[in-house]
Amino acid sequence: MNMFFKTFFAIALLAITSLALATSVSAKDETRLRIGDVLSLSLPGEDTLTGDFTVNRDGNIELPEIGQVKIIGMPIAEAEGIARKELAKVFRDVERFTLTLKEQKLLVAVAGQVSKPGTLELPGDATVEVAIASAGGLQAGAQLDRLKIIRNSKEIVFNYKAYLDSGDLSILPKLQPLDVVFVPISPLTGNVQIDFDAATLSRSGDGGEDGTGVRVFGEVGNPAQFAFKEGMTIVDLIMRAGGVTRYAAVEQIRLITSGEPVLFNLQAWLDSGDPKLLPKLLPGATVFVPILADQIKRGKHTIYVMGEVAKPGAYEAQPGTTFIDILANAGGPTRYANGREIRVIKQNGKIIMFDMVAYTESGKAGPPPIDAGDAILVPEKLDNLEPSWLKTPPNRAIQMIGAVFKPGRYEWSDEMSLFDLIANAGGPTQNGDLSSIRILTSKDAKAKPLIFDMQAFIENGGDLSSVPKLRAGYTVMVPELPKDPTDNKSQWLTQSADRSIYIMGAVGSPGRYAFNTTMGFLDILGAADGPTSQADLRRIRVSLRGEANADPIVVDLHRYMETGDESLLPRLEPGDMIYVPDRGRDWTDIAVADTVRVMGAVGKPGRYTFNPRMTILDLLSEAGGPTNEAFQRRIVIVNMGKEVKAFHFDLEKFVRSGDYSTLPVVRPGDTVYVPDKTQSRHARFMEGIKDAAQVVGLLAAMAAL
Amino acid sequence: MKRRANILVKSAILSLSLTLAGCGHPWPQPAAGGMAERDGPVEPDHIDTATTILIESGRKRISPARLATAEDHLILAIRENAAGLYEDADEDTMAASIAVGGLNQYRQDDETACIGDTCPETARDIK
Repeated sequence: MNMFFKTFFAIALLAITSLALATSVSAKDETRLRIGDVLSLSLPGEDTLTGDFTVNRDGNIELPEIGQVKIIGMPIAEAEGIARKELAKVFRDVERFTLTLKEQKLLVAVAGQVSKPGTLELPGDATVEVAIASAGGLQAGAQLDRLKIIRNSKEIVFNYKAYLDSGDLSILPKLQPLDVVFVPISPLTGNVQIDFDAATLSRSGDGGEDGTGVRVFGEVGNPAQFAFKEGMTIVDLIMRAGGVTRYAAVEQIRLITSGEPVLFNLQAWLDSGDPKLLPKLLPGATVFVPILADQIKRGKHTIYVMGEVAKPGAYEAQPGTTFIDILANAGGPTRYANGREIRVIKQNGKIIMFDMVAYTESGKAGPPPIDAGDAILVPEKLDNLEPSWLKTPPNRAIQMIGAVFKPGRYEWSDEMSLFDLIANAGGPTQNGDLSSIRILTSKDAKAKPLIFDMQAFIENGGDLSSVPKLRAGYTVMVPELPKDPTDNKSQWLTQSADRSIYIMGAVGSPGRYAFNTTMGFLDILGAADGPTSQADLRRIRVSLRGEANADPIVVDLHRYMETGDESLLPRLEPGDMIYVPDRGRDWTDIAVADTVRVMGAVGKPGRYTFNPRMTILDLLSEAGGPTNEAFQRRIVIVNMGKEVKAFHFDLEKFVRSGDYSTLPVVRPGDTVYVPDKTQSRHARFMEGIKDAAQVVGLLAAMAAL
Repeated sequence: MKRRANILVKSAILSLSLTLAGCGHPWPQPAAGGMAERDGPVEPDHIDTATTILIESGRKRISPARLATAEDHLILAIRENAAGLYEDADEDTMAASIAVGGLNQYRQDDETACIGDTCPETARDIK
């Protein structure tokens, strides 16, 4: 039994040994020559044929006196036979010629993102990894998952990163002579050659170009696109992106895969560890980590900096942080800041003022204490010394000029109105004319004026849509009412004619006055200091200049004052002219139909304006009354109406009797004549007696002769 | 001698005649009507117009200025009528009626006379 096992073991060992030897011979036979292989040749007696020969790039070995012999791809024995055969053509005793493989080498080139790209002569069994290492190793920025080997114009792409992750050599293609190993650069590095470090590159992500990368952005340390790996979870991805920031809304993380957003509650997952809470991450997914604004506002150590600082915002303040620390973190006050009125609003509502300018100049009154929850407000400088208006570009500003308290450029927002603008400009001055606000609109490099009567709108109301809509870039001007033209004619003349009215004649200050349709006849008359004492109020004339061929209107202001009838007052328009005549004007200027002529023995004969309600007694009184020579018993009145008739009036009789029925009718256009006493009958009789006596005397004398 | 006396007598008579003839000055007729409105209107048309003015004034349908103008014309018409200036009186009566605007004459018989184009339907058109 024992003998049997010994015999069996010996036979088995022999069989195994024979099999191994056979395998070895077969392997040797299968070794085929490649470019770069070093062959050892020997032909006794021929020194030139004894030594090392290398298979060149053409696949040949060059034999002395023979030339190129192609042996590429042949087993060694076959190559030996071919070489012997060629040598036999020249040499003798070639049977002793031997050809053996001394060393195999690999000629490859390594290009791309490696330290020393170029052609390499490597050991025959060298791998891609050896080739890369021989080329100085990879450089930062290499796209590891897309390395390629270029062989006879064909490309073999392989994931070198997967090899590095797993060590699986099968991932790497086997190198062949004349292969080119190309290491591409990651597209994340952009098109500009820069020196970057691996950490920065890592933060930038490693996403591939094939759409399988996963993106993560929002409140994470390094928002980027990363390569997707099988089995990767959303937590892995977030960690790969540097984790979430302290402002991240960890309960509101969104995962978008295949176009469908899914909410992921990281907080709940951390609390429970329940894997069911992890949504499945697929290639091409997007993860968004939103910001939790409330958390910023409610930070336990947060201090708020607002206003004219370089970087307004919320800042963390650890115990011991000072006012200056916070202000410095916020970038410090800008050049528009009013450093004299910095305010610290304490959490309890108390406000502390801080004059930074004084502090920096004198060191007195140091910065106020600052605590978490406080707010620092750095106001804008408002004085005109600093051209802070430069901050507002023309396409966001509107110009306010003219008679307002604060003309200037104002930042504009379209929800504001013209009223807001004027109010913000301090309102119109005392001389501001709201009735003709001028708005210079601008559009497409063209300006167009527009006039708005704000005064009428304020007084009467109206459709708000009629108020011009302002836009940034417009210019608004509130014109100034002219002052008394006698005070400042130059300023007064700047007033446009279409806003003026003219008043001339017997008024206190004739001239050109600002006018709008809200004003009335009496406003203008009052502005001109009213009629003088010599003004003829019954015949004020108004020329309507704006109406073609319109007759002048005669305004009886006297009657207006009697009756208070507003209908007597004309409605004026800008451009009209008012003329108040003087009662003492030249008599040729007075119409015949408006006067009564008084002639004869009166104190002041002449033409007098007359009211139908008056009587001849009023007229005679105005004319100075009859003189001592007046023949009062025969005052003659000539009525010049449709019927022309003459009457006489016995003033003496009327005075004695008071019989008003004897008073004559006198109307404008009539004539009153007061004869003198020579026209009386008695005077004429006595004159006749005198004449007769003279005649008789003359005749008597003639008779006596 | 007697002949000389006759000549003197004739001359004296001639002179006296001439003298008396000079005393005969042709003065126009006496005037009247200067304040005739104080006795109130007498003519029916004037009464109608005065009534209209009073009513319109009370109703305040006509502006005070037009009422005053109408009154002026009416006063003048009354005066002219009293003075014998009848055509002028008619013209001022018309002007007074026009001045009150409505042109409706409220007659004493409580009827309304209309002389305008826009009269109430109940008015009697006397145009």
